[in-house]
Amino acid sequence: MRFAPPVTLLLFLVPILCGLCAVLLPAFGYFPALGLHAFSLVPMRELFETPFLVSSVVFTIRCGFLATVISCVIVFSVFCSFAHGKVIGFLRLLLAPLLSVPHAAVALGIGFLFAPSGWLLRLISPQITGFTEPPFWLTNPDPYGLLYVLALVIKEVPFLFLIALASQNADNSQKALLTAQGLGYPRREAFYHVILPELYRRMRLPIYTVLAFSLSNLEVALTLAPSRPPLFSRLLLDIYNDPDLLKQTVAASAAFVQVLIVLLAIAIWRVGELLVFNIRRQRLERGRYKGCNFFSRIPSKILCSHEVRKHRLLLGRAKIRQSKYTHQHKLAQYNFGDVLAGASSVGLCILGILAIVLLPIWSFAKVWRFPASLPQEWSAELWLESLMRIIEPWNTSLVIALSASTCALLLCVFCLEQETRSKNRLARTYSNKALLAIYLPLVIPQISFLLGIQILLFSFSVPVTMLVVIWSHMLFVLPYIFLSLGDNWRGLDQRYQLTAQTLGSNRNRTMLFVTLPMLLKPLLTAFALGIAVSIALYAPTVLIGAGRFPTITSEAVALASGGDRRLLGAFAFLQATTPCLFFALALLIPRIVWRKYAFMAGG
Amino acid sequence: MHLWLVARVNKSSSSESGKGLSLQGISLELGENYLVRNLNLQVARGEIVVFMGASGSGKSSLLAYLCGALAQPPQASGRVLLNGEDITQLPIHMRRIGLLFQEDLLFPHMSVGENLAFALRTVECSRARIKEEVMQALQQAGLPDFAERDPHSLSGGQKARVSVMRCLLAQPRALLLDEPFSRLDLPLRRDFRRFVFRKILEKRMPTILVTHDPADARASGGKTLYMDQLAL
Amino acid sequence: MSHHASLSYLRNCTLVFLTAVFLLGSSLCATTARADHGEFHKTEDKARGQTVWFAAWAGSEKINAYLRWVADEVKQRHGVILKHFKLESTSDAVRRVLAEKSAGKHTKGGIDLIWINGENFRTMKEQKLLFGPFANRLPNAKYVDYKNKPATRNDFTIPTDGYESPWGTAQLVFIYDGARVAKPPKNLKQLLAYAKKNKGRFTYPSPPDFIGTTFLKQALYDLVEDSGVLARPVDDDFDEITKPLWSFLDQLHPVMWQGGRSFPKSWPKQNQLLNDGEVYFSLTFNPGDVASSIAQGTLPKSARGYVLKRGTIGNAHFVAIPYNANAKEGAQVVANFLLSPEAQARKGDLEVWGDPTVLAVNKLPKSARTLFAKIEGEAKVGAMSAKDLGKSLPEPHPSWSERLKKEWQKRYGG
Repeated sequence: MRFAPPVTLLLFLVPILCGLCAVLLPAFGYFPALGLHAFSLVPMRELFETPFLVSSVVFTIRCGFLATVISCVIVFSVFCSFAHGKVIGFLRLLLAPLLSVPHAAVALGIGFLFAPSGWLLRLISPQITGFTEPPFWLTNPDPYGLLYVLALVIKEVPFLFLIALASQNADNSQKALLTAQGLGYPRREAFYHVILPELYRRMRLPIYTVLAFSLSNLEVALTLAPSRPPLFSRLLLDIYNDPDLLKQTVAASAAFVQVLIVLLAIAIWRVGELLVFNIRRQRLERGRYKGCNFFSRIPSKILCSHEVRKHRLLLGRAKIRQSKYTHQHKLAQYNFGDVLAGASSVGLCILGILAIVLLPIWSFAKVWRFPASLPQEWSAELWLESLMRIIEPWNTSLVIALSASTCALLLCVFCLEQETRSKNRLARTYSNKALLAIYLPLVIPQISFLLGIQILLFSFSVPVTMLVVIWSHMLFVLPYIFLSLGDNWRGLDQRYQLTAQTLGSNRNRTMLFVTLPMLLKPLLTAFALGIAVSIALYAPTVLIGAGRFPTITSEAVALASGGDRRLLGAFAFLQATTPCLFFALALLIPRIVWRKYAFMAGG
Repeated sequence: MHLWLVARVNKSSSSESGKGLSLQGISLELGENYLVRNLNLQVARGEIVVFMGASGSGKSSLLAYLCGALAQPPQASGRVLLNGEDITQLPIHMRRIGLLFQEDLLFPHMSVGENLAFALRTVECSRARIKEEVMQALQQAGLPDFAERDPHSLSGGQKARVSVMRCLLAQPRALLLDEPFSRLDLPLRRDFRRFVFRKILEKRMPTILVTHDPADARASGGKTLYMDQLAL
Repeated sequence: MSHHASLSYLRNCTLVFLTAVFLLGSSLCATTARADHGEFHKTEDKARGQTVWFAAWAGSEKINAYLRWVADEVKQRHGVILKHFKLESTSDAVRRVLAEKSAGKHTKGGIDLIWINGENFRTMKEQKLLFGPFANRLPNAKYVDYKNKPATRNDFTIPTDGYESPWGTAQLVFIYDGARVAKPPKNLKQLLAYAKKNKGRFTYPSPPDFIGTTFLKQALYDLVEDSGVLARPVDDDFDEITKPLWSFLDQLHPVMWQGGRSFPKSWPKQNQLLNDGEVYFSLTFNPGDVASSIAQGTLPKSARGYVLKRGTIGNAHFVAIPYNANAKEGAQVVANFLLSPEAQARKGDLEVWGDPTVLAVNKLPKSARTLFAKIEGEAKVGAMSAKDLGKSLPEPHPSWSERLKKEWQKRYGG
């Protein structure tokens, strides 16, 4: 147990750093296999000659920030508006399936929803629009990258939501909120001053992850981003795929620049976050609260307008139960901001779910032309034909995902347990800080270090085995598991463990019979998240696995290059449903196991 | 190991040597300041020593140190002897010191009976004996037929009693109480205090009680120490 | 025998052995140009039991299925286990070999056979990442129609020199939706006029996509006065030669799909757009693709293929063996099987794949010829005959692709 943190670091940090070095060298012109033995800035210079480089960087950062800011605002508003009601539970149920769907599948679905020939238009054409042919619209891809941002938001909101749920201590925040409201702050203001700083502190890392992903992902960029200006990740891919092998050095410097972009963006974000919280402090110090909340000024007439009435009913019902112990009694306490927060998150869910529903429909379509709302000819041919062939990759996916998630979960548990056991607060802080390094794979763009790792593996002639592939998946699975489990683990009242120990139970027994059972739900959720991450991984599977272990994702990506939407639909559907199954289990199992114990089943 | 412990506990209780809990030259150092400075204290068996002091004065740190769970800083020095045995280096679960908090801390994933049995499993192996002892403990707590209940469904007073019984079933050699009464309503608090103190006398355990409530101190009948004096 | 004598005896033996090896080696080199069946038997013997990892683009279920058939056959006939290393793009395989070379892994590489052509072949050959020459040693190479299909000799004007073995031929084909377009434009001027009249209904995949780049080259062929310059490497007069191309694109883009602000990222994506009705045109490199896509439902029944009046660019695709391949013998056996009349005929079947053969069918033994006759006999919706395809133009020198791509990106973005 004591060796868990160093072992974890060794397993992760060393290869990643080596991998990064292996990218840095060619970025500065050193590539012996191509006959380049001297360092130079030529690759960098060549990169900066790439057309549209600057606009691409600007566009990338803009889209990345937009997606992250919107996701954060939605998640925090939802928490502000409905922190302690049924609404949260309801949203959680809605969002869980979205969490498990791979980015690529959501992007595919969203693209088809909004295209000029997309489903939304097909549903109302030609009856309402009069279109018999797709109109000449710039909706997919749109020139501003809005669709790209939308798809990212749909995927990131559930993730941040899950983390926020895990990191928030519902009881305490409820009290703090009521206290602040009792002091005369409206709810939104109270949330901003009392809950947000602590909640944000815990969510900082996940938010950086989201930011980094929005800046560097390829899955969504390839499907939904406009051609001009290109997103940087796509620019990188084009250089990387250039048949001229000498361009590999330019690709390496582009990968290096991408790392810089991510770091720069995080730095900007950090400055922004300091600013926001400084303003908060100043506002608090300025004294008398003047009641200038934007939303509370919206006249109540708007609230009663037709669109929001339904929401108010829905949300109101949940609130009635609450009002027993809150100080507010009126049903109309949900103001415009709350409705907006609720509506936007529900809207996102609906869009996301529509996008997923499209996948199976496509997989059964034979002929489906504009403007038919549903396929004109159906066929199960594809499923019948490919079912047998899907089973093997599916099996591989499961084996890899299960082993990677299990190993990662065990490592996480050991690291966290070691942290709990460590009696030296200083050492604990250091080990905590060091473990931050496992988040590197989430912040550093994949391609940049995977290539290096690949070369590393070749150099040591590590044979390509399933084990190596599983390890490469763990690089990505572990940080996510750590993210989602860490706060739950640290949030557990340590006096439970202490009590168990004073009752004569040694540490291992305490962990086994007290800590782990009490954390069953977060453990299972983290595990399911790990499965979802592993199943959606493409690059490590193919790069490290040398194509020896085809998974449903590697098959799906290969087939995607052929562009048959129906095959894609089928594979994406499988990709989405498999982790969904595990999320469902993660919700169900604690309910069944702890059905007798109200606290466990509910919490 | 466990059998050995049981043997020791039995031996010391039969010998009636009355050594109890002995704190020798204990200091808790936080940077330049001391929370506790060179504390020497003898708590006899069945005696209750009360610690009073403002929050943050180091009461909880001291208790954590005594039961072996102190996280550094503060830096601790000194020796703790229990019935003549030096336990300063022993891990928590081998010290056999019972600990009760303000909250009941019943394990929410176990029934009342399982909570009690949890304390027994390290000292007792026979299933039948465990069951019997659990039933007995529930009787004593005035909660017969509660074995299958979800602790979440119990009232505050009931939970408090179960948690004391659980603590006692582990056969502690000393007891540390961290404001265990302050959460209960006044009448309940009096009853519960009486219940706990009676048990302490019955089992003749040296006890340290940390509290804010002068009534606790009065009821204990033992000496009262003030934390701010300990730091000097 | 004394100790000393035994040592010198040993040395002599070694010398003799080395000479024999040398002679054998040089004789091998001498016969590379001609297929020698007897010698290939040795390769086949060695190949038995080997596992061959074939790195091939896996975007088409049909091709994947064909490769599964090949795997079954070579296993039965030669005891070679063929595994498909499924690729998203061929450059992944090229990079992998390069990465292996970087790490000093000069034997037992992860890839034994690559499906390749054009620029990827050129870089691999230049960087000495290929094993060979082996192609002419394959017994079935004698059926290849090197004479009438020059693309099988010169891959994008680069001589193959036996470092890759031809597998199939291809020609750029324009696809149009017959239900929307009555008379498809047969040259670029007509195309521009058509696009101006029907805004937003034409597009092409954005370079560096393979087809997108080919469209640029094709347009250049149509607009340049003397197409002879294209066979030579790019020279200083690039700007001058390509001027008409850019002015043509400048006019075309504003009336294209999305106003020329976005392009489909690959030809399958454009097929999808055609199927969705957003555009009326698409492009493909496989003449059989139209018919098979209609049968699959990925193109509408009204889709038809055609070529430009002056002909379109044709090329060939090949298989090559990396220098560090683990199962070089097995890979050669597979390459040889891919050239067999049986495998080629099956590949040409529209139901299977619909990829035109590289063999000279009229030179084949009679029994083999009937195989081809059978697949040509059936008429399918959207099927294109050799007559429909007309004249195939040779690929320009690869340096043109490079410059065109670069210039295009500079002007119109990624």
